[in-house]
Amino acid sequence: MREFWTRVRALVTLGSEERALDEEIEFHLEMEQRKLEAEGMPAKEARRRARVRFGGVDRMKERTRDERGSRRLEDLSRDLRYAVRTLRRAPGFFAVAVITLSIGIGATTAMFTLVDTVMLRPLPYPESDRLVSVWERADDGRDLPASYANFSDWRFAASSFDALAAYVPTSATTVLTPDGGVRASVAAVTADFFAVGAVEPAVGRLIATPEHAPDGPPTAVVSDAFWRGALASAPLETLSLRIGNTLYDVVGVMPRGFGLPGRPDVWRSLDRAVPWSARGNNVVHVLGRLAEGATEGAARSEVDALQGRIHETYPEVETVGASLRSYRAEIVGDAGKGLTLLLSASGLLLLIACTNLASTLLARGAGRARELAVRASLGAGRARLVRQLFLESSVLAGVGAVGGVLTAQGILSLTRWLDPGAVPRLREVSIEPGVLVFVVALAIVTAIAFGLAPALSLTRGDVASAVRAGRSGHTRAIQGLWRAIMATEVALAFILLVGGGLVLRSLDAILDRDGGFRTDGVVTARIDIPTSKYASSAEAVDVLDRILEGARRGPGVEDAGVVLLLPVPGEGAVASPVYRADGERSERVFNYQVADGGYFAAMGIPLLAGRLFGRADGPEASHAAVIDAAMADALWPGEDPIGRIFNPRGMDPFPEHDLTVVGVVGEAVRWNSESGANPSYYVHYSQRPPFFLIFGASVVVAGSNPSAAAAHIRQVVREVDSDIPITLATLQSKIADSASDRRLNAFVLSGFALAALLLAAIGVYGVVSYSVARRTREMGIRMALGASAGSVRGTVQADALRAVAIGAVVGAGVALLATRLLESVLFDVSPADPTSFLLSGAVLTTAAWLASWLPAWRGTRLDPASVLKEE
Amino acid sequence: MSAERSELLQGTLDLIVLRVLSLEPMHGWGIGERIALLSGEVFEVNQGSLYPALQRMRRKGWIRAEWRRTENNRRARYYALTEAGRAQLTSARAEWRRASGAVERILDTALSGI
Repeated sequence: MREFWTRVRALVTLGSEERALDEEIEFHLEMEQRKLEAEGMPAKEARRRARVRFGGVDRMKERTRDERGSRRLEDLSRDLRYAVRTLRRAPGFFAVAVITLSIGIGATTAMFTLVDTVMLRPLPYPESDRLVSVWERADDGRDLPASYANFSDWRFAASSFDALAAYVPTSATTVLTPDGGVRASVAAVTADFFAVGAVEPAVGRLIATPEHAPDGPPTAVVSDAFWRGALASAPLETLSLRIGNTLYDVVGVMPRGFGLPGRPDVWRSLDRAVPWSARGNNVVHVLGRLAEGATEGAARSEVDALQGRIHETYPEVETVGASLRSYRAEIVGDAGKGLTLLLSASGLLLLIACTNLASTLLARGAGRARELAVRASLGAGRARLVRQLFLESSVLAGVGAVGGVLTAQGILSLTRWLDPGAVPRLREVSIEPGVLVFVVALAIVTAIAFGLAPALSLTRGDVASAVRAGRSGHTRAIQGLWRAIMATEVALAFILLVGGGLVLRSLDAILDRDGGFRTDGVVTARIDIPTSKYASSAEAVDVLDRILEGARRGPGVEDAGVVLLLPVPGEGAVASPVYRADGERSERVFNYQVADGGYFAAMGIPLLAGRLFGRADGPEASHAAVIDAAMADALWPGEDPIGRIFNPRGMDPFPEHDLTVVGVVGEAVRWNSESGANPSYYVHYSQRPPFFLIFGASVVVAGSNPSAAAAHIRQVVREVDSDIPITLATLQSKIADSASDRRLNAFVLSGFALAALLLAAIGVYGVVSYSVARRTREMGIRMALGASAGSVRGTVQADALRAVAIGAVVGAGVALLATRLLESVLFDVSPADPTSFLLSGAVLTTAAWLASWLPAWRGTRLDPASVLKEE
Repeated sequence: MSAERSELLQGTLDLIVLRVLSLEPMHGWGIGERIALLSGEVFEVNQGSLYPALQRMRRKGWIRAEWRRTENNRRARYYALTEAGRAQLTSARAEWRRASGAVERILDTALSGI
């Protein structure tokens, strides 16, 4: 123990001890010299003799250090300082290696963290693995939401659940707070909902069971953030919110972190949203908590059997069974697909980074062969040299790891900032230490493995020959290895570039897609008419009439109309089969829309046959329908649809009124997914108003001056009824928002592709730089003999570009296979899209050419004469 | 084999240095000079061995070092015997006597046996 402390003290006082020794030696030499001078020797000669008699100073110092006992630690600290100094002397190499490591570690850590948080970690609810979602299953295997009546039967009869709840998923809705209207995401839930989550309120109480009975008092619970923000922490006793036409008493505040389902701001009692409860009306989502000891399988067969019996009992129930799956799989869903994609991309990037690091280290190691050989011949042991390189690599990996953590933080913040809500649970994300350790360890192993290579290869060979050969001595094997590394890197980068290109082109295709309606100059105003203020539907319809009339008078307004749901993603849709006059049910389902005649004009949806809605279609007239061409084809192929009759039974509360087709319009539907949209039919708002009263509506105004039109609508609505909340947006911005999850993917993926490109270019640059350094003499001779700089550069570059070409070809081949996995996230773009492939190839080749040209150019700029003299 | 020989030499050098320092504290150069003088110029101490030896004996706690002024006012590192050093000198000296006596006897026997 005492020995140990002596060593530590020796290490701490290292500097002063070294100085003391120097002074002691100096003193010794001085005394010796003085003695010799006293014997009559001239001063200069005496000094020399003193030195000779003393012997090798350095050797003696070394031996004294050995005796000091702190040898090992001392060497370590000296080697460490040496390593830092060496790296500082090669800033280019250092920067390349650290950037490479930072990008590789950062991107991979960020992505692994995202995937881990979103997909792998349990949900933040007690025993969240017991949460399941339940669906009705159609005979073709599709899963549908449940009808409220069927859900009620499951809840009554099934024994596999501790709780079973229904909800209408979150939608952005205008909520009137005491301080005015705000846009909030609102979910409608049954009282059991909170029992499924097994969460207690932070303030107040939950929605109680009688409150979701049809005639119960309307009640709402709000999120912590919404309460503190929009509601300014107002006391609950007097707090109420108007949503649509109903006033809800706020009874509780949920704790922070409770975000079922889909992070709502407000949970309102459900039954307000389901005024009609036909068996075939599939509108509610069902969430359950499995009972203690119940398995998913058992619960699944139980509800499946129940739904089977319901199907047999009620002929209008089309679904034949029920599906049940874990809620986590449910919410991860599509985001999981995107994340897996990004994860693979980051894996590729990590691979490129490691490859790059390897080639950079190899190139540098090769350049240092001579230095190492000299040091070895001066007596540095192999172990010492290995340790030296080991330390250098470790310092490098350490700095790279720090850079990587910062990069990962940056990427996560950026993702959070970009995220439109497409990635569930993103707010919970923080860097996962386990992931970080794994990635950093991988980087360190790479750094060390390839950093040590030169020391090992050196010591295997003959030191003397290495010294003699110096810079030009390089085995074919190592050069071959480089070419392979360079080709690999280019191939990997190619895959990422193609992937990024495909996703970007998909995004482009979505944004540019013709939905069958105009998007420029269209302003939409989402309004909710507080019908509770008006005694009848007719009065509410009158309010809407006045708003539309006012909107048409706006500056530059060409057309104005109203629609239930805009035909853009994110607005939702309601669809069901319809019944023809002969009572036969349609095969397909059709979107139910409510509109007026002005809507088609404002949206530029063409009238193909018959007429649009007009003055004739009042509340007293027979109920009219405008259908789109696809519906006409589906129901009456090859026949004239005008005057035909159909009935959307159960879709709205007017089953006794058949609909008569009065006109056919073009299809106007725009969806994100390639699954295709349903054909649509439109009913007139004055004839079948309740949908407006429940969901609100969008007033659509088209004209030459959107911003003036928007201001005008706001003014009109305020004049008609200042209690009507209004949210304005251009149609274009709504479309852009709807693609924001794709934009996130595209952004991150193209970021990866760019990083990969950069890394590949850096890799090529490094290898060619080395090759130029090695061949400076040869290049000098050739130029001295009259070769042009261009042809000399060409020779140097040719070598690298051959490897690049091989890499690009291999990369293209692999990408052709790999991009098939992308198919599900692509849109209107083939996985083998020639444009993406050609463009990627061109970009990559250009980058590689530049990266190889630069060092070659620098090499040819040297004066041949001075190069030849140098060696 | 060579390790054993250096061990012996090292032990001898340590003993001599301890003995020199038992007279009075002395700096490195002075120790060398003193040894040469006392041995009647038989030994010339290799400087390359002396300083490492001093370092080793310091670490073992036999001697301590301090900076002092020489008679002509030059800063020098002086070494002085510690209590442990004094004890070491006594025991090493006894050991030396015993060993050298033994070696003497062997050599005598061997010679008379020829």
